Amino acid sequence: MNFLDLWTLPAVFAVAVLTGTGVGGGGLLVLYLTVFFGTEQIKAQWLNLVFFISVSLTAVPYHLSKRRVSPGILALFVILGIPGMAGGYLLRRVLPGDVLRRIFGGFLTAAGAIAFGKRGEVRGEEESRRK
Amino acid sequence: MPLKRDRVLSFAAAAAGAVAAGAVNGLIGSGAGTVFYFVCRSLGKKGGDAGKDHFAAAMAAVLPISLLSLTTYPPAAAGDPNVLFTLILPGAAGGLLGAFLSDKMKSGTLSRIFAALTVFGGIYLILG
Repeated sequence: MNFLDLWTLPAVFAVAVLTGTGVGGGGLLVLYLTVFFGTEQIKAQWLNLVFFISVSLTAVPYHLSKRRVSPGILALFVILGIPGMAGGYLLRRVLPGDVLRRIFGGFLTAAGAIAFGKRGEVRGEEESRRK
Repeated sequence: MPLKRDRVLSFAAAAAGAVAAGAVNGLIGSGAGTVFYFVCRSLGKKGGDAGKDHFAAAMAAVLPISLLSLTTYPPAAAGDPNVLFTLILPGAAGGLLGAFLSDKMKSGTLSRIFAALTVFGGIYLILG
């Protein structure tokens, strides 16, 4: 990454705002790094984690202050998410970067398609309620 | 006891979702928030500000998992000052601005643009 690259700072800032609002964004940063900078998949994932942690360290306290997070749900997700993360890490260790890149691409495609579907579903429900 | 059975099933689905979200984070370094969000959305309350609550829960849950996940990577760019300037500082500032904006904006159109970008990018990565 080049600090002097005029596009990088605005792009990273825009993705951070999107992530902070809840629209999403972490995946876009990996995409940006791998496609425009040719960053290898593992390094892009590491950079994305650093980025996400810096975004959430400022955004999460704000959301917590608004009492938007149920402590029970949070505890369940963290306690069960950690062993899941360990499983994912073990799998990552044996998979080549190219395969990881394709898995990541498949995940992005599926998540984007589901998000599109859900939006349509919600809009349909709202329209039928109005009628 | 259909009510109790429903609660058990909801808990099992949330637990399976949490493990899956963690696994996605460990494997590809992102995406856990998306899984958590879908789990909250499927099982949690609906309408009003529920979407914002689900997102906040997802983001708060991913933070400690991401901190742990970070330790499993070789420190690829540690010591590179560019990381501080290009990722951490704009990330922290943008995250705070985004959190404030989440109270004020309707994200429908932005979400659709984001979804389209992720689908396009995902296909590019699979084929590229």
